[in-house]
Amino acid sequence: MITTHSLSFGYSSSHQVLTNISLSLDKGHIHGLLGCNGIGKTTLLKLICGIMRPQRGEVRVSGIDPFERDVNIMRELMIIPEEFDLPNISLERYAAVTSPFYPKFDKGQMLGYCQEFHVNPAERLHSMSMGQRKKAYLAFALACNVNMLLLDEPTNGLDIPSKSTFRRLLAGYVSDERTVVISTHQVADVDQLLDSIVILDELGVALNATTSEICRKLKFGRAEEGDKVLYSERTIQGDMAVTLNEYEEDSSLNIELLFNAATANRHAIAAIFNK
Amino acid sequence: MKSFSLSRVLQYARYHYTTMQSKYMVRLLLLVGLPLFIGVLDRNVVNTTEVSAVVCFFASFGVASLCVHPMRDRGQKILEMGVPVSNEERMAFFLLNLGVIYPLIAHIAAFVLALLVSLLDQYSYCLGDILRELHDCGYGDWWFYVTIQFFAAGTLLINLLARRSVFIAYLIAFFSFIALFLSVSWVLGLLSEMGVVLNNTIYITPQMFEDVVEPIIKVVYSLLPACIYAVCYVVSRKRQMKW
Repeated sequence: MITTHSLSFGYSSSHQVLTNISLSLDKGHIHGLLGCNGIGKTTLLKLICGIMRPQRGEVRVSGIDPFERDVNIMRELMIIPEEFDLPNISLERYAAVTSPFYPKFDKGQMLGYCQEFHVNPAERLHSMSMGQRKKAYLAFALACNVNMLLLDEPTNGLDIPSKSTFRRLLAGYVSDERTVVISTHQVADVDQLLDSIVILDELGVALNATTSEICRKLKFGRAEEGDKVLYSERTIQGDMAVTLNEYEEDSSLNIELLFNAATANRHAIAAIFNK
Repeated sequence: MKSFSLSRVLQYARYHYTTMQSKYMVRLLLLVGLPLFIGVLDRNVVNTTEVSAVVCFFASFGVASLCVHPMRDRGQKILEMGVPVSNEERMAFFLLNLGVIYPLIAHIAAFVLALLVSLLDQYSYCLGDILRELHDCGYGDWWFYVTIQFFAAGTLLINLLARRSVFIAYLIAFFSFIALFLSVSWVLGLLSEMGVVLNNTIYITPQMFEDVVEPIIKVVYSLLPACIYAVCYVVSRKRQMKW
């Protein structure tokens, strides 16, 4: 389990990115981390990984400060950054020198994932395209079988078939013991996967709830007469709204609409979920 | 789980050398290629050995900065810092790389170079002559080893301390070193003047220099890299990610 308490971080005194972030990311869920550009999603992932230290507040991963670089915690925690450089060796060679750090790594699993992503593990990583390289690293990371997987914009650079392969593999990856955090702007790529949503804004955590809780409390779609409208916007399908789900009607989650509602009408949404 | 495991240090060494192999190859080519080029042109073992000693000092900067390169490189740093090794294990690898492996390779490279160039030299050299030439240039001597460690530890510290531009950090370190050198000589001059005024000057005889001053200098000089490495460890614990 990952928890943060009153977490604040800034790259300089004039560039504060995270302010007073308190949240809890339980295991057994795929958490979607959403927020506007520059709000600090990637920074939060780096803080969770312990590669940066919070200026105020604390981060705990399984009860331990990740900045202490406890190997027991680190071997169960993996981050896939949005952009990264891999060495000019094959994925097989890379896995051979990196996998000893991850006791649950399964080479057969990695080769299977490579096959599903149509990536040749014997090919040099520098001769691959950016998307292929990302798929190769995803195959390696998933085969490490860590309990906490942090993904920063994982679908950026992936082609359309690979996005659905990624969704399928990640859906099979999550279990009661595992926590997956996906930071993304491409909500349409992962909206079927997420079962918990965290929305960050300038003031901190605007929303942290499971999708079932959100659908129980909010309704998405065209507003009907008598509905308590929390947010509405004009789209090409007509006026779409987020309304209070007073009678717990069935409603399918619209993450984009939820995000806009949570950032535009923060206090009303917070009041509903803090009840 | 212990925070230090020797097997993890060796695993990390394997990971580091494999992922950085092309960059290490460039350094190795410079370490061997430049003296070999000069040696082939000059056909003189003495000159080749001297050049290889100078290159060896400069290459220690390069190897030390390579150790920290994955932690500083924009595309690599997140993956690098995510590798499950503790700070102690990473520091142990730095010491192993800079304190054992690099000097060992530098010595072997210098020996092989001298051996190759001796085949071209107009004078014939036996193995003992080559070893003597190497020793005359400092190879195998304590000050040679400590100087390499001093350069390597200093470079490591600068790379660990500098956040954005490591070049500016090098400039600051260079001018700080000159300022420190000038300050020490000024203080010594002042003390000497005070001694003259107080009629309490100390005359250091050659024997006294050999028995007292030289051992003190040796101990202080030997401890200096160790102290810098200790500061590197503290710095790496306090500030892991450079941005």
